[in-house]
Amino acid sequence: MSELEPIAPCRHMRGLLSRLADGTLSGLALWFARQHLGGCTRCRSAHAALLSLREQLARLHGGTDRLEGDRRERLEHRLDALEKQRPE
Amino acid sequence: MSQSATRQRFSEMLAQCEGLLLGHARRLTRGDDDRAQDLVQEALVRAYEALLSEKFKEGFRPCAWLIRILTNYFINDWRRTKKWDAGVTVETLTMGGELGPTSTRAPGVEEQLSERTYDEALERALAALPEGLRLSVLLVDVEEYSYAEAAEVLGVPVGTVRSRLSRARFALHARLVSVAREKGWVR
Repeated sequence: MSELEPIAPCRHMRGLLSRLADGTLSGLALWFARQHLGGCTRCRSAHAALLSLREQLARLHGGTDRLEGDRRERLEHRLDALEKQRPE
Repeated sequence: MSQSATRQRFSEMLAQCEGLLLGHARRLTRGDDDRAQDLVQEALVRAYEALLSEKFKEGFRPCAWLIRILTNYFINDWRRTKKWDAGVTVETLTMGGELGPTSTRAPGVEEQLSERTYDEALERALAALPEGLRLSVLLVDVEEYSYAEAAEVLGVPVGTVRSRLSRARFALHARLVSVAREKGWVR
């Protein structure tokens, strides 16, 4: 059985790690975060966990469901009505 | 553009984005499939109205544009009715129908750790987040909006989206760790 801990980075790194994980960190902040990660196991682990979480969240994107039949029908009627309100 | 050409364009957008819209709507409504279907229908009517008024500009990403209309409609609807915390039926969150009520049979390790089970835990953790945090994560981490796009949809500054995302991600991870421990997947 593996061990798993809640993410517990150094307090001043919380916001930076989140942005590092989604690639929006830049400039001096990016340099600082990378320097810190180089010497801090706890933050490296937190960063890896955030990257993994983001991958899982991205996989939720999409779907194959469709509108139910009666709703699709009602939608088409409403679209027809909108067209009638706006004669060409 | 003629109405028939606009309708044709709309049908193409719908074919491309329908599943994505329903998935997003189900998360917004915390798994209330009926409400999600209503939400998508209303959003599509508004989208078609906007399309007829030529408010869709070339260069927009169709699905992102529809998601934005859907999210705005959801937020406005909530402001009207204050029903964001309406019944949560998280069992429906990972379907198309493939995940029924929890089985009473003890699942094997492989089943426990399957992608679907993890996704269910993640969906539950998402559903448990406070609204502001949840919407930020849904838009940025699931629907791939930029911070600026999410801020515009939510009507908050970019810095607020940034801090909400940070809080939401830490909260989600903590919740997933807690679930994993409860299930005995980890120490």
